[in-house]
Amino acid sequence: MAHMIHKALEPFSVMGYHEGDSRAYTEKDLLGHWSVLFFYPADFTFVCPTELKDLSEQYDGFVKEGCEIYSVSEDTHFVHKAWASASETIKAIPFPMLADPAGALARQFGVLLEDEGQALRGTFLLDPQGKIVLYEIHDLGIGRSAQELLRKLQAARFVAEHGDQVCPAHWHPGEDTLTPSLDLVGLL
Amino acid sequence: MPLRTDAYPAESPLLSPELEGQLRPLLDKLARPIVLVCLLGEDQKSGEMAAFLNHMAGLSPLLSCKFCAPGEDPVLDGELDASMLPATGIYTEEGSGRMVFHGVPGGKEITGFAGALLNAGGAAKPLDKPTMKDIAKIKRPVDVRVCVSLACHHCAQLVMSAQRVAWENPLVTAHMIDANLYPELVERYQIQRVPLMVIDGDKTVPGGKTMAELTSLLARL
Repeated sequence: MAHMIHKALEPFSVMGYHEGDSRAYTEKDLLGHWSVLFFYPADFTFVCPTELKDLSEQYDGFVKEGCEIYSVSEDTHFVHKAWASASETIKAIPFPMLADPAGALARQFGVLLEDEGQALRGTFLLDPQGKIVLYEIHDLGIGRSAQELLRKLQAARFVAEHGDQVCPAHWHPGEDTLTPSLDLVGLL
Repeated sequence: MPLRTDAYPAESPLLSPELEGQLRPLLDKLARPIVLVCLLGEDQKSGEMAAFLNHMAGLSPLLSCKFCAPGEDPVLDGELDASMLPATGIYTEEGSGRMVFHGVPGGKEITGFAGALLNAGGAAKPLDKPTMKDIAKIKRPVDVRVCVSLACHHCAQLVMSAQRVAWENPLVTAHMIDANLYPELVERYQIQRVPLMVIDGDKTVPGGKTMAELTSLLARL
């Protein structure tokens, strides 16, 4: 199975709902800044608002990193609007909610369940050139963490700016000293 | 009064017979005496470092240790930075103390430590002329601190480069810091990735660097 890392965004045009307004969104909207495409199965479900609320609460952190979030489901933008009218949580979502009833976006990213007309829980981080730098696809019942996604965005930005000559640091005060390993002896 | 070296274990579990076997041929290349001067606290890592240094000193007749408590010698406290213990400086009869290790050089950092010994012992691989020329372009005092985690190979390479520069240019000091031991440092510089180089206490430079990149960066300061 081929992976999608560095796959470029393909042209698309879908309607989207954002803070009371609806308009068409294309691939051009996702270029020039970091983007998260956040697929979820359907509006008016229980796990989805939890995830979307979590993302809303962390949204400022994503903006600070120069990243816009686009949630995507296979509903129409009218359904997004109805959901926002019915739920204070959804009404408060600060990012565009893209509508993909024809499945074009979900199919492009390989998360469309054709028989069910729903998307798997897929998260895709695209760099400012529209290339996928990381993604995760969950089975329907497994929720995602906005905080974890933000950490990954920060790491991706760091690597884009500074190259990959770094190691992530996981500080564990009090841990034992690592056994010495002279495997870089060729440098001496 | 320096602390007694024999007050600490003569051997360290960190130096396995296999590792000893790898270190001995390197240490056999040393051409002059080296003193491993260490400022020790009363913490567990200081005890661990004392045993490590005693064990290292036993691997070559040209290596010896000197242990001190902070506050005994203000010059030493300044050179080695007594605020982060244990702190070990590599000295020869001519002095130095410009290659310093904070913490215990386990994991990949054993390479940096061995590299520092080879530098001081006159046994390091010669550098090419352009690199030596670049190192000579550093014309003002520079304090380089490489914050590392012991599992990071990019870190060890940067530490080796920084310490080589420090050895070749008396205006430069290079400290390896096992950031895991100093949470206030992690907090102050918000260190989430390593290596992170801190220059003169305020300029931070993330990521590994080649020797050329490092010398170019330091010469431009």
